[in-house]
Amino acid sequence: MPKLKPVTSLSLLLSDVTIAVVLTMLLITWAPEFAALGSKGYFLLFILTSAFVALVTVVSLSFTKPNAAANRVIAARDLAIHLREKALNEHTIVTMSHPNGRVAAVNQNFVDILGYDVDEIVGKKSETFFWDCEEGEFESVRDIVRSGRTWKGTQRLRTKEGCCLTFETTILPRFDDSGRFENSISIRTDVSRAKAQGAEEGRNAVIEALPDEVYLYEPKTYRLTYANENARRRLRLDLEELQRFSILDLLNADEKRRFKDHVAPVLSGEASRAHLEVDHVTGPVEILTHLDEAPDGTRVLVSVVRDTSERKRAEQIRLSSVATVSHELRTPLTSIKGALRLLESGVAGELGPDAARMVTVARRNSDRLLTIVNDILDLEKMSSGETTFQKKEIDLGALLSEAAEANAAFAAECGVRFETEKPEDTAWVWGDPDRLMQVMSNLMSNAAKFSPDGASIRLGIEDRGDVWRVFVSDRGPGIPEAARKTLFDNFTQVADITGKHQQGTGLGLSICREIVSRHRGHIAFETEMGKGSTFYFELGKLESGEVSRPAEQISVA
Amino acid sequence: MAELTTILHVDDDEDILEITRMALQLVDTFELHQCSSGSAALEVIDAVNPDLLLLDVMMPEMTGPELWEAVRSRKDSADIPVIFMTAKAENTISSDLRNRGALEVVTKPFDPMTLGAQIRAAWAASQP
Repeated sequence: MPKLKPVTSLSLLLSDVTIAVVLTMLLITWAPEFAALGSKGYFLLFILTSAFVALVTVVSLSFTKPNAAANRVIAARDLAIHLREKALNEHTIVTMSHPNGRVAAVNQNFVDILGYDVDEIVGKKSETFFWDCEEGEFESVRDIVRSGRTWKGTQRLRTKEGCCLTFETTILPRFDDSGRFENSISIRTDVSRAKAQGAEEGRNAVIEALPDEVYLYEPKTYRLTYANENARRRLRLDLEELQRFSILDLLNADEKRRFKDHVAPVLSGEASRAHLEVDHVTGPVEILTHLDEAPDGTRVLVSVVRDTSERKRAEQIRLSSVATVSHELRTPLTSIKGALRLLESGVAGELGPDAARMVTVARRNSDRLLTIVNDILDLEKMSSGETTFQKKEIDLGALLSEAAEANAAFAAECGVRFETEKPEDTAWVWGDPDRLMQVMSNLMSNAAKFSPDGASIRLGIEDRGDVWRVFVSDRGPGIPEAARKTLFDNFTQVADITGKHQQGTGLGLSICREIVSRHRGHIAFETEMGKGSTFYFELGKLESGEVSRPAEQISVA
Repeated sequence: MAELTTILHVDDDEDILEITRMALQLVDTFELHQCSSGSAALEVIDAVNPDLLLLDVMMPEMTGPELWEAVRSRKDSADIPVIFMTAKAENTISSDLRNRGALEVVTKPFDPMTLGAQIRAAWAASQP
């Protein structure tokens, strides 16, 4: 029979008596014979049941392990401590430090999170594991803890790999029975992730409030995942509603096609960023798209839509003032050119050979000046939408041959020749033949100017799926890296190292780009230094069903 | 076919008047009369009795088209054909003037060596 504590014995006695009373009452209720016995009988019955209950208790206690009841209480307390420690271990790193500041012990989390072996930690100064610390910082913390107070603050520790982690730290002092400072316990919670999250939330708030519209959508399905406030205003959808739509649902058929074309090079990895200008009903916008990776590794397409109406307006003002100036230049140029032309012709009297040469120089440069003025006017008219394009169905192959013929004399002057590769099919497109001829002629004359004597320039048309590509391939010196990005910008010129020709106006390729873009086409080049350059433009194929489309005048917006 | 011999040329720019004079009298052989304003032209038009008017579009006080209107409104000069000259390169102005009956719109700068031929070609094309 185990030895029980007095409290336990008393509680056992009380419970036994209660059970005996209950049993007695049940027996009286169930067996009327006992009721007939009267109060003496009841008492006798109570004694009997008490004895029975006591016997059962003694027997059961004899068969159970010693101190089982007490042990259960202790086990419960241990479990609580264990769970608390486990919880503490899950969330924090715990360090016990000697009064001299050296580490006495750490929990497993310290090892797991910071990546050091226990041997590399124990016995080392705590400072060893800090990312940075100001002079006297440790001493002041130690003084606080030694004085019996708890220190709380933020600390940055260095992992073995050299990363910086931020912790919320609490340092508690421990004293022995005699009140002497024994050691300190530091409990640190890693808040790096929360901090990063906080920074991300800050960034999200900035994106949300941007004046530009920002759209995030899935690369495969184009399904929207996020749109910032200004984007939602355009869509008239809230955050939840917009996630039911693909960004393509918001566009008409033509816009859809253009948008897919715009995104394609980003999706294929051909370009890191794509740019598209659209004349939307609400005003002109530009779209910048790139592929981004979310923190969880999923890829997301990001399109930023920017209102360009202000910029366009400013551009328009600039261009119309340019046009006015250009027009004012043409009147005096009429007199200069006219006078020089008359002098050169000899109608105003014969000139001496030197004078004639000087007049020719002056006349040639006045011609050049006029070309610049005309190019500026041409560009301005196209940009302002004044130019009307007379579009119809045309065969690019026939047009290319015509352009080659028209420029053959110039090629001969440059000592080069054109070799036209005939396409297998008729290359039907919908376009303005005069304007496209202008583009071809410009590319051909550039190629002729920059090719060495005796070189041949390849011209041709390639079937590129949905589009026809017209190319002009020269054997020139190639385009230097520095000029490549701005080649299609106004007044960009590449030095003519052949020295054969006078510089152009620097507007030719800008005009080409403008014309091609008005045909919803694409102009570009490939170049290799010392090998040559290939300039090409691509126009959408005209489907056979479209050939019967009536001739239309497309006014350029 | 009516013969083209006398031209009345109106332009406010003295230098262009000079270049045009050389183009039409030295390179070509027209009988040329010149004025530097619309009002001056209206004063001499009856005396000159030109076969053709050669008018600058942009002129102060009275523009070329305004002068043309004035000429047309006068009984004696209503049917004189007109060729315009302009430094403005807008297609819309040219096509508008042609639609209103101008024989030709010459763009400045013009080539003085071929101006006469250009005028004669436009004249010939307008003859029945």
